[in-house]
Amino acid sequence: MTIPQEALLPTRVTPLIVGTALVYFGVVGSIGLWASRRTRSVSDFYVAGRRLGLWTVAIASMAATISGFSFIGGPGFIYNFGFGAVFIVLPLSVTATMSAWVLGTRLRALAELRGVITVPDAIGVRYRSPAAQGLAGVAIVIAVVGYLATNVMALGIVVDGIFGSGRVPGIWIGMLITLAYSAAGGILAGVYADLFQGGVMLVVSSLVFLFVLGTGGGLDGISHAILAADPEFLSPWGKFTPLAALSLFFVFGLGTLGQPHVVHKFYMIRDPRRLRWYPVVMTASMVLAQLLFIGVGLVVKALVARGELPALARPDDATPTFLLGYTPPLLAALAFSGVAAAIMSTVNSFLSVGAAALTHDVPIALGTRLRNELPWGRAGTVLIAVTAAMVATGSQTLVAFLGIFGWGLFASTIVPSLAIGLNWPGATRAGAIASIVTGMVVTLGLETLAYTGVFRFPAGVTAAALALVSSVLVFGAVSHATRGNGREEVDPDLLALMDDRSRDA
Amino acid sequence: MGATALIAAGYACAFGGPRIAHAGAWLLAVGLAVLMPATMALGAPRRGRVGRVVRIALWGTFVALLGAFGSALALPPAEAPGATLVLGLPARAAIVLYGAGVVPLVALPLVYAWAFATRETGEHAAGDRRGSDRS
Repeated sequence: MTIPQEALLPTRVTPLIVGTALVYFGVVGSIGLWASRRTRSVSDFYVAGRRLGLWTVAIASMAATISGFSFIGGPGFIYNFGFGAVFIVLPLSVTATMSAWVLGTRLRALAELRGVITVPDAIGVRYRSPAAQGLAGVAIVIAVVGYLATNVMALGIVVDGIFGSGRVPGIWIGMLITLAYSAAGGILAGVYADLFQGGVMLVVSSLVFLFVLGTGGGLDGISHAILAADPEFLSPWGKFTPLAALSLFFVFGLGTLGQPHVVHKFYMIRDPRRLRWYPVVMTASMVLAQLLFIGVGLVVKALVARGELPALARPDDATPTFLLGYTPPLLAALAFSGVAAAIMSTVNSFLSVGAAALTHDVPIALGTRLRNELPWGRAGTVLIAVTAAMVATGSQTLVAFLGIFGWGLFASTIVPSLAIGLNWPGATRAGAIASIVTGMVVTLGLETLAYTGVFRFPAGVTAAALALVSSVLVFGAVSHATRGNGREEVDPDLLALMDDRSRDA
Repeated sequence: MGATALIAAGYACAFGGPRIAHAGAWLLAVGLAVLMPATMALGAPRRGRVGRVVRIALWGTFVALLGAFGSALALPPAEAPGATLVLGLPARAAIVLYGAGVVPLVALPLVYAWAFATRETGEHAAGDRRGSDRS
């Protein structure tokens, strides 16, 4: 999915913005210090010792899902493409409930039954296949480095915008702060930092939306202003074709089930009965956090339509322009910290799943297991962070290329094997391996062809969508062709879990 | 798998002309309306069956998604200066946002919570019955 990942903030160093950011970074650092003292085992490091409450898990999942794109790129996307861009967030109506039904209780039960700590772990025990686990791990590492590079670059731009440090020093400052609490406190530090960061995002997004409505004269005022200047902007598909808008719904709807940095948080909840309210809390927090995404893009378009603002030079200027021109300075300062919060919480989660794939899943696939995984996990975290930062400070072309396939690679390699496989006893090991390989080959192959200009997709078609469709179909076809092996390949306790007979057994 | 095949066919249509591409959008709309509730239905059964309220919610999701996407595709464009607004948006955009977005967003999490509680209650009752049978 080609989505602009850069966060473009104006280089405007004011004492209020700097002070707010310093307080924010101080709180995050303190959380990391506190968590590092409580991280004593690999379970603490990767799944927070499975002792988190519902609110912590749900808000941390929300914070991990929402990157800087929602605060900067997203409003710019709406400003540029109109209502059709809303199709990125429209699947929120089903994704939290779908995740809870398809993955929530099953992943939590797997954590209890088998002590799994990573998403590829779950794939490995589901199919009794270290190969499937290793392949999923490799896909995650590739996607994580790409995603991280773009997020770290965006973080560098935010840090530069706040402190005037310059982009490259900003990348290293932002990365080192995130790395410090990620390597020391692991996911335990991450989720509590996410809880704080998620809170900042919710407050900022909600307050900014109130200013959006006030400035625009309500939703009616905003719509009338836009309709007078550009009616197509508020058609259901905006500037997209219908196929393109619906394609966004598909990739960001079904694809949610394959985002390891979000779904692995199901392992962490202390009492699985608390999952009952997960969809309510997750959906409500996601909606509040995305109000800024939708609201700012629309109101800036309305202000331009009314002639109260000049047309933006870059769509990504929508959020900074609105914050600095139409909200109180303290809220603007909080919002800039909120952007950093959104990026850092996503980076932390990526570091965790990437390090786990590198030091836990890939060695298992190679027939070995690292002794004392905790220090290895910390070393893996540092390695991935430094690699991503080096990529981000290096070739911008490489960053742009890596940044476009993260979501699609996660979705196409994990949705069939994990989300469908955990619910369908007929799924086979061969089907899982074939779907993961298909997801990797189609995503990387098509993205490379498209990026190098060898192939051009028709409007509405993306590599991520084709890869997801292909991997699901291959998964079903190969599982069907090898269906004689289906139930024999599943351990009885997992079969009972899938058949939901475990509590009756 | 059928829904995914519909979506695949929708994408295949995009490689044809504009008219075929429009048919592709319809295939995607129907495919998505089936795929989302069908995926939820994969994880929703308890002891091999899906409860009535959950079934209604999943069918409702199908109707909401198909209704919203289908209306947006089928209705003629009415976005124009001074157009009548529905809850702050032109009619077709409002149908999409409130039909495919807000309605399932409010209903599904509550149905999930209700089904979860019903399952817990049922399991406790079954556990009590097993306990009394043993005694």
